[in-house]
Amino acid sequence: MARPDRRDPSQIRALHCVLGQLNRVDGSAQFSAGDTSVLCGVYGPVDVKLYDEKLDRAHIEVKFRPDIGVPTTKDKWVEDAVRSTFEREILGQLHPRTLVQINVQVCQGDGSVDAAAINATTLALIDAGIPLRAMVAAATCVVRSDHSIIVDPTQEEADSALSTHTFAFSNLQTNSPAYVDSRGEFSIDEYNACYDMCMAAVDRTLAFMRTVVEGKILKETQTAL
Amino acid sequence: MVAETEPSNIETQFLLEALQRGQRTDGRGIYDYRTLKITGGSTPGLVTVQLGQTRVMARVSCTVTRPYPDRPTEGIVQFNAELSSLCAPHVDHTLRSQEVTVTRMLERVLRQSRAIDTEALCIVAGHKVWALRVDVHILDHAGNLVDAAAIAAICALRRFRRPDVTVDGETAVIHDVRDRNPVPLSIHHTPVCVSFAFFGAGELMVLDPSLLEEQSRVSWFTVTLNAHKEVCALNKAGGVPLTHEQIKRCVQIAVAKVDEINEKIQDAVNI
Repeated sequence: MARPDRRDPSQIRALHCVLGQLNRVDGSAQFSAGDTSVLCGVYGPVDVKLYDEKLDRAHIEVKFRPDIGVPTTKDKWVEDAVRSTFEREILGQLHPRTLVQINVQVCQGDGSVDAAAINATTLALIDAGIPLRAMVAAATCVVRSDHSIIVDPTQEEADSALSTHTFAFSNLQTNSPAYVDSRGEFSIDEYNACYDMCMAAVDRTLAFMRTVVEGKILKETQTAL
Repeated sequence: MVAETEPSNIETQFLLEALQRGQRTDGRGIYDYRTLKITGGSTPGLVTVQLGQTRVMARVSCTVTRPYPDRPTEGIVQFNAELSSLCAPHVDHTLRSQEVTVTRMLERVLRQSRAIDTEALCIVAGHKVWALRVDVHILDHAGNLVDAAAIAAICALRRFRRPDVTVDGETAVIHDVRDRNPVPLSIHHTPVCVSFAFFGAGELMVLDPSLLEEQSRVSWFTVTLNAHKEVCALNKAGGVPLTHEQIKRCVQIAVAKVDEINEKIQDAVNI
């Protein structure tokens, strides 16, 4: 079954990223995969409310806002997904009794928005200079009605899928996912096939992220000279 | 708590002394706008506006719904401005009240000025109409949210395409965007806001205030005009009164500025 945009089953959409566009936040990244575009801004480490203060590490807070309408429970789910992924990766012990606030704003949603949110967050945290244990990238796979598997689905492809699987891996231990979300009816073989396909997609995304960060450092050192 | 801090006395004093000499702290002229950049997204109905460092994103979407019972032949337009938490880690009441100001201004500028043809949004009178939703997300706040938000909203509305509809008596068929090209909205005119801030006893004035200027102002005045130089709305707020000569002068300046803004809008909406 051919894909509407003629991509191969294992082909991800064209990735694009701009860092540091916003002035008030400490770091920002506008991450796009095809028509899905997500803006992430990070404050940190900043003052924390007394209620949330943690004595030995930073408090991580995530706010996820959709492009259309007011936030709903679906968006709260993505907030939780991003927070649980990055609570492990951010070296919060270096900044006790502070807050790291991750703000994700969807600009355009065309499938794989939660994966884009995780990718944008990694880049925004790097732009803000927040210490991380590793870089984390995510990808989504769906199992279609004919049981074929495709990576990085558009909204249209995701709507008609039997099951959806989002995996996030760090660049340290690529055989141990940082985040997993599976929905729908699927077999173990389908799950494993999605796992492998997402891992390959994540490798490519991590390579892209490296290029983006290298570009930023190059620009900064050139300006300094 | 990282609250929105008021500018220090030294900063406000410096600003006022500079203005008394006809200079602004960011080096602009009194009547100079910051650089305006309007970018459309790949989806119609998404527009991002950058006015200096202020960054605003507008997104238009539509659904089919029942009309209000007292207006059975008119569609519904809803505005929602949100100061994204990107602007400040803890959005306090001062910033929240700015959200409300921007939403109210958008409603005055776009709905009450009859810029959008709501009768054209009717599908089946009394039963089905289009409900438009304009979500304005303020991504970066560096002063003058009203002007940026108004430009973003009107550009997004003009770029937006709704699904085509065929009506046959009481039944309507809404065509999928892949079967039939979506159609533009019916917009009568393009209103644009031009904002001024006043200082001291009201004798010092600037156009397009920056964040520091906005925090130090004593009064503000917004002129809303369209491309035909018709004044759609005048909005004055703040304790210090303005003379009618000042009001007339502001309107004249706005008339001169609206051409430049309109040119950029035309480039952005002609996709």
